[in-house]
Parts: sequence; C-alpha cells; structure tokens
Amino acid sequence: MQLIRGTLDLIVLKVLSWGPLHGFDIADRITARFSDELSLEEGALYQSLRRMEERGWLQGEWGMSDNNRRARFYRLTPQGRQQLRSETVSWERYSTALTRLLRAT
Amino acid sequence: MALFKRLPRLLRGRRDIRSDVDDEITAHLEQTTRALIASGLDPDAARAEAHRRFGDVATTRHAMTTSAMRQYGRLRRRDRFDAFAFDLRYSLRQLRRSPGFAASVIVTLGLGIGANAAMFGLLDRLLLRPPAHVREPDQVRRVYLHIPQGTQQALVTEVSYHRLSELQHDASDVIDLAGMVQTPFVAGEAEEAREIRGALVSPNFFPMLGVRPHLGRFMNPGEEGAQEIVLGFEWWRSAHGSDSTVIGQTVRIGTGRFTVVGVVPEAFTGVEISGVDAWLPALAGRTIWTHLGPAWAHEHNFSWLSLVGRLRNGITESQAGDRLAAAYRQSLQTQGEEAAIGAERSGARLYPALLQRGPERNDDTRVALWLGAVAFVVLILACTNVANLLLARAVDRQGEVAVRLALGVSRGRLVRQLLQETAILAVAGAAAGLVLAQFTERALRASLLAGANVADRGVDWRTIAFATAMAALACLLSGLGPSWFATRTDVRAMLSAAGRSIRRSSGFRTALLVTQTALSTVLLIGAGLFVRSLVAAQSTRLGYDADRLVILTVRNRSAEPLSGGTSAVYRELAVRARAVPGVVAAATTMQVPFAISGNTHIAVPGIDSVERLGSFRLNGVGAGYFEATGTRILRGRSLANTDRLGTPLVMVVSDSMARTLWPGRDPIGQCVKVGGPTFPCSEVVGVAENVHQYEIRQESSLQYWFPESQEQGNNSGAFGVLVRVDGDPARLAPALRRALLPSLPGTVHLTVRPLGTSVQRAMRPWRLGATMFTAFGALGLLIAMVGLFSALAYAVSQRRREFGVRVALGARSGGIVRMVLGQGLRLAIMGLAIGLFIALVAGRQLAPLLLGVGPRDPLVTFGVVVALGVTALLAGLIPAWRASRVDPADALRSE
Repeated sequence: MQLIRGTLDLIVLKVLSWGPLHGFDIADRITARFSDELSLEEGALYQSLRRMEERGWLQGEWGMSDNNRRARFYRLTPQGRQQLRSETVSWERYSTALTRLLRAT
Repeated sequence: MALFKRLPRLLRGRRDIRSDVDDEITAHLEQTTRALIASGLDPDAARAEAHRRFGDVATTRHAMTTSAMRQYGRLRRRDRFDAFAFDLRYSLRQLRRSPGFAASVIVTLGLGIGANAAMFGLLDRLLLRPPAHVREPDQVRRVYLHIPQGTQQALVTEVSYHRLSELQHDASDVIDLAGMVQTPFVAGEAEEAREIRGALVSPNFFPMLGVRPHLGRFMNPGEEGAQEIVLGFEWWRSAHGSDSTVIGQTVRIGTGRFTVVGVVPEAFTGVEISGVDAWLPALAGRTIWTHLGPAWAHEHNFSWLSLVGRLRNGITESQAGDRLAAAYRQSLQTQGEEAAIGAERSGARLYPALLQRGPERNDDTRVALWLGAVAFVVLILACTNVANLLLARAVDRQGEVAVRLALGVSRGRLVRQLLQETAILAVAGAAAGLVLAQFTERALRASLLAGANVADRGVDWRTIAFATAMAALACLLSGLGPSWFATRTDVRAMLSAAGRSIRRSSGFRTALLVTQTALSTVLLIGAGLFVRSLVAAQSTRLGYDADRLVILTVRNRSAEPLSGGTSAVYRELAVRARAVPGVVAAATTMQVPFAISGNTHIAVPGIDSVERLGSFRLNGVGAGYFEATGTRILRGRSLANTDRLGTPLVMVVSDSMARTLWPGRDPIGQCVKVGGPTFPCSEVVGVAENVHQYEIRQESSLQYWFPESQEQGNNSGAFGVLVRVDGDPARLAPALRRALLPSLPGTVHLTVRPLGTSVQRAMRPWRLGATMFTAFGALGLLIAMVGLFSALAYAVSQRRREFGVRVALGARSGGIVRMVLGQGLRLAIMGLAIGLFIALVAGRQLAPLLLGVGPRDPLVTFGVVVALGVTALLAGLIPAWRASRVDPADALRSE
C-alpha cells in the first residue's frame, strides 16, 4: 500500500513528538509501526524533513548517534507541535467523514 | 542574545549547505547498508537494497538543498535586520548621551535642508511641475511669434483674435492652437460686485489641454460668442458653496450675463501658475473691455491673446514652427501693406508650456534660481560644519572605536554604524527642515509668486522626496570623511595610550575650513553685487516722482456705458482731485507706469518705416501732466493749456526718441505724423527726460506726449489720473478715495493706488537677492569664524608645550601672537583665493541680473577681502592671546 499524499508530514511529526530522532531512526520507527502495510520511500522522508525544517516546524542539528556516528537529529519546535495538533484534528475529521461516506449504502 | 546563538550557523556559506545535505544522505545509506548486512545480506546486495529503499538520490538531494537554501536566505535576512536594529539602538544611545551635539547637527542640517526644500518647492512650481490635469503635458507648447525690428527680432507675445483664427486655420494639421489671456473680471451686481481673477480662452482651450470638467461641461467649440461661463473650482467652492445646482444659473460678469455650464477640476489653472476664478469664451471680452468699441475682436490692432497649442501626433516642434511661421507671414501679408514690411523675416518658435521656461522668464525666476544655488551652497556649508562637529566627536571616540576594532568588529560595519548615526541626524534634520520649509515657502511664494495659485498645499510629496535626497547627500557629504577618519585608528597605539587621543585631524580640518571660507566668500560677493544693484535701482531716476504720485483708475460695472465715456469720468476726477487738500496737481494719462501703455503707427518725413527703429509709446495727457509727474523738460517747452483742439498739433518727445529719430539734429520743430503717413504733422515743441515705463533696468525709452484734447491719430481717451500729493501717498490715498467717491456714479469702482507700490514690486528681485545673499553670506562667515576659532584653539592647546619651550627660550609674546594669527590668516587667504575664483566664474552668469555694477566690481571684492581678513583675525585673537600667556613651567610640567 502506498502512502496517501500529504500524510507523510503528519506521520513524521507524530514520530518526532516522542523525542528527537535522526532520519534513519525515523524511517525505522515508521516501518516498525506500520510493519509491511506501508511502503515508505526514504528519500521522500528526507525531503519532508527538510521541508518542515524550512517551515520552522522542525529544527535539525548534527549530533552523535547511539553507535557513535555523526547523524542529523530533528526535534519538534513549538510551532511543529502546534502543527501536529491541528493536523491530527483535521485528519480525524476527514477520515471519519470519508469512512461514513464509504460505508453508506 | 538570539544573534549570538545563531552565529555559528550563519558562518556557513551556501556551499556548506550542499555538503551538509550530502552528508546526511550518505549517513543514512551507510546505516541502512550496515543494518542490512547485520541481518545477513552480502555487502553489495545490502548497498543495492539501501539505494532501492531510498529512491532517486538526485531528486531528493535537490529538494533538500532547495529547502535548506531558502531557510538559510531567510535567516540571513533576519540577521541583517537584527544587526541593523542593533546598530540603530546603539546609535540612538550614543546620540542620547550627547544631546547638545545632536541638537546642533539637527539644527544645522535642518536650516540647510529647509532652505533647499523651500527653494525647490518654489522652483518646482515655476519650472518643473507640469500643469495640473493636463493630458500629456509634454506635447503642449507655448507659441511665440517674432517680427524684425531694427537689426533685431522683436518678440510677439500676444496676437489679435483675428490673427489667432488665421493661425488656427492654416496650421491646424500640425498643431491644435488655442488663445488665452488672464484678466480681472468684475463679477456680481451693483453693491455685491467684486473683482475676481478671470480668463478669456478660445473654446478649444479645454479639449486641447485634455482636461475633464469636475462638473457639467466646457464651452462648445464654434460658439465663441456664447454667453457661457465655466467656474474655477476654488471660486465655485467659496462663492457658490460647492453647490452642484449652480449649473444653469446665470452669473453677471462685467456688463454681460453668463450661464454656468461647468466647473473645472480642483487646482486647474490652464498652463499658468496663477489661479483663475472664472473662464469665459474669448469673444466675451467685449463685456469686460467695454471701452474698446465693437470692432476690437476682428481687427489686428488689439493684440491680447497668448498662444498655446498641442502638437498633433507625430509632428515635431520644428515642423510645427515652420508651418506657424508660414501662416504668420501669410497673415501679415493679407493684413495690409504696412504690416507686410519685414513679413518675410518673421517667424514662430515653440517653447514648453510653463511660462517661465520660455522667453518671458522674468527676473523673479532668475533670482529664484540663484537663490536655489545659494540654498545649495548653504547646505554644503552646513555639511562642512557638521563634518567638523563629527570630526571632533570622532577624535573623542577614538578610544571606543579602538576597543570595538580590537573586539573584532569589522571596519566596514563601524563605518556603516557611524554613517548611520549621521543618517539619523540627517533624517531628523530633514524633518526639521520640512517644517521650516512649510513656513519659508509660503513667505517666499507670497513675495515671489504674488497672487499665484490658491491650491496652497505648501510642502508636497515632491518636496519631501527632494528633502530626502538632500538628507542622503548631506549625510554622505558630512559623515563619510569623519567616519573613515574615525576607523583608521591604530588600535595598539590607541589602547596603550590609555584612551587619550593621539591622532591629529589637521589635514581634514584644514580642508573643511578652506571650503567654508571659500563658500562664504562666494556668498558675500553675491551679497555685495546685489546690494549695489539695489542701491543703483533705488537711486535710478525713473523720469517721474514715483514717491509723490497716486494713480486713480475706475472700472464700470454697469451694462450702460458711462455718459461721455470713461475719459469724461477721468477728466472730472482730475478736476475734483485738485481740490482735495494735500493734492498738488492732477492730470489724466493714457499710460500708467508699470501697468498700462500703448503704441500706434507713426510716420516721420525723411525716415523710411519708423517702426523698424523700435516701438514708440504714445501718451495723450491732460493739462498739467508734466507738473504732476515731475518729468523734466530738457529742451524747448512743455505742453501748455493753450494747446487744444483747433490749435496747431504739438508733442513732447523723450530724449531717447529724439536721439533715435534725429541723431545730431535739433528735434525742436520736427514733424511726426501720429497714426501714419496720411495724418497731419505734429510739431515737436519740447524734449523730456527718459521715463521708465515697465522696467527699472531699461536701455531706451521711446516715448512721446501730446495733449489728450488734440486726439492725434484718432487717439483719445484716458486710462487713469496721476495725482501728485504733498506728503506720503500711502497715507493720503484713503482720504483721496473718500473725497472722490461721492462724485462718481454708483456703478463705478474706484481704485486709488500709490505708484510707489508698483516701483517697490519692480525692485523686488534685487531686494530679495540682496537680503538672501547677505543673510546667508553672514551666516557662512559666522560658521567659518567659529570653525577657524575652534581649529586654532585646538591647535594652541596641542602646542602648549611647544609654546612653553619657546617662551622659556625667550620668545616674545608678540611673536607668538603673530604666529597664531598668521596660521588663521593663511587658511583664510587660501579660502578667499578659491572663493574669488569661483565668484569670478559664476559672476558672468549673474551679470544680466545686475544693475549699475559689473560682476567683478573692485569695491565689492575689496569689501569681501576686508571682511574675511577681519574675521580671521577675530577668530584668532583669543587663541593667540592664550598661546602668549602660556606659563613655561606649568606647560613643561604637565606632560
């Protein structure tokens, strides 16, 4: 199953709300959570990270990973947190409405 | 502080962003590969799988880089702004610490910028700003004709209605030509009547300019004699309360009634700068100039319309000029034999729509241009003064600057910050200057553009833009040098000298002082020349006693012509005026100095076409005219009461006229035929001194007088009464008016005006020039003196030790005084030399404005040299005295 367009940002924000992570870990978490349901193109993930950094939702900074390698860590900014909240609300509304429509006979 | 937290990231350039992105991608791919190997894949397969999962690297890299670049740009802009805000706060803090310094700079620049803004506002109106509401004003031209007169070409500024029609018709395919004249109207009935500013225009005037009515419509082309009126916006507002139902109502103008058809837009004044209350079709002039008779509009002998037109599409100025010249020649040929003389050498020329940019530019505008230059010089003077203050401050702040340099602040940033300080002051100065200009400009306009546009907005956005440019210029002129100087500090020397100032600024300061002295010299030379011109103007013998004369003029507001005509009213007025206490003499006149004059054809036996020698003004005068005006008879006799209708025709000619017509011969007894060769001879019985009719600066005065009662050449009718009074004319005028009013019909409006007011007005250019040059010259001298004083005082304080040594070695105090004074004088002489050179070059341009004095007047030059010498000595006096009083023991101990 392919990712629905525009939902990647929301997923990344959600994953980062648990704490700062670097790109590889984010990809790892997403794959772990959704196991094989979603096929994630990792390049798209990195584009999303930089895009959200430009918008001021994330802040990236080089640091050391667990196995002592240089890695770029991303953390949510207060703006990003706000964004996650509002996107979650609108996604829930959207999916509820869509589900209701699809179930209707 | 946010700035410092962001700094490390800012240090990276754009190239770093690329490698940053690459690093991130590489790190990810490596980690994935390692993880895959750990899960059992062989290295090659693991690498391939990692790439597969990642997708297209190039696309991702590009997208990531773009995002990062954008973010970087935004951060950098924000940082720049933060740095700017930081410097601004820093500058403001520095300025708050020395309010005296800030105030003096703001006041100095305010004066300089204010003077420029005020002059700009005026000159903009006179020479630059296109007339309001006119479509494509650069296609609109004023048209001037010229005819040969003697060896020169005489400018024809006005044409008759008949001539206008012929030119319009013959040149219609190159230019849309209109005629116009501004003239006072009497509006309203009987007691309500008052004088308004009127204009007569050919009906195509409005469509030609492309203006749209604010209300209603304009006059219909083709209905030149229609009884229709278009109201000026301001008059519509003040006299009709902006009432839109005014359309269709009738208004009384002169002896006619006119239907209001429209209102022009606000501030529309045609192509002139003076306001207009009401616009009438050209031929409606008959209701205003009732005394001219019915035929005036269709004959050539009454020229009253100025020409203005719009070039047709694609037609050049010279094409239109050629065609108009041909049309003018044709018109002269058909007019008659006499007019045809020299017709083939007549021509036409086109000028910009603004009057002052054409051949009719007046002395007021020329003086205004010079005052604009003066204002600019004053601004430069102000800048040198500010530069001096900034320099002193820079010397004081060397310690602070050295510390900042040592801390790693770049010189560029420091110069920027110091300039910014100046810029803040310049902006404040500009604001102060604009406030000043608001008042000055109104005063200037009142004196230079008397009666001009009512749309008085004072300082507008054009002036503000100009003031801003001037502020920027002032900031650079005064701030660049000192800022550069301030940052050229030797950090190590400075810090080790424990904050004492060690660098001298003498070279730069000398340059400033020499500039100030030079500019003051230029201004003072100008002042001297204008003052001498004014004195010459005031002592010019005008040919009549202007300070003893009062002029009476009347205007009839009734539809009925006055019984016996206006002349009878004037004759009656002259008789009655003589009976009023304080009146010495009174006589009717056809000419009013500085207001009304006329000429007619004359012929002189033995001379072919007299008109080619010049234009001879006639004046039919009442009995006792020469006694009243005080015009002296140089030879022969004056006109007498016995010269009247029926006795032999006689005339008195001016000295210039006698010399022009009969050089080297006796003018007495000569014959002049007034009206042309078919008229009888008038015998010249006397020669009078030359009189100034319109200008104080006048080369010749071709003028003749004859008894009004003899009606020579069918010329009769008076245009005023000249009354000679004993005492101050201004004081006697109201009493005279009160005494005369009862004898006049109720519909007649009487004006009583001392002639001196007209003469004073003619003196205005010189008075204004003299006042402004003197004021600014004195200001410049004062600035130079203060500058010189502080420079010398500083030099003396720096050389205390040296003076101490000299005194200890036996130098006399006189020698030391001479040394210090000599230093000041040397600077003054340098500035003086440069200033005199500039004045010499610029003076040539000033020459046409001067009266009775050349641009290189030795007396003026001498006076300025003395003034500067005295100033330099005065400035040096106290420092010299201080230097001579140095106590050697004290001075040697202190350092």
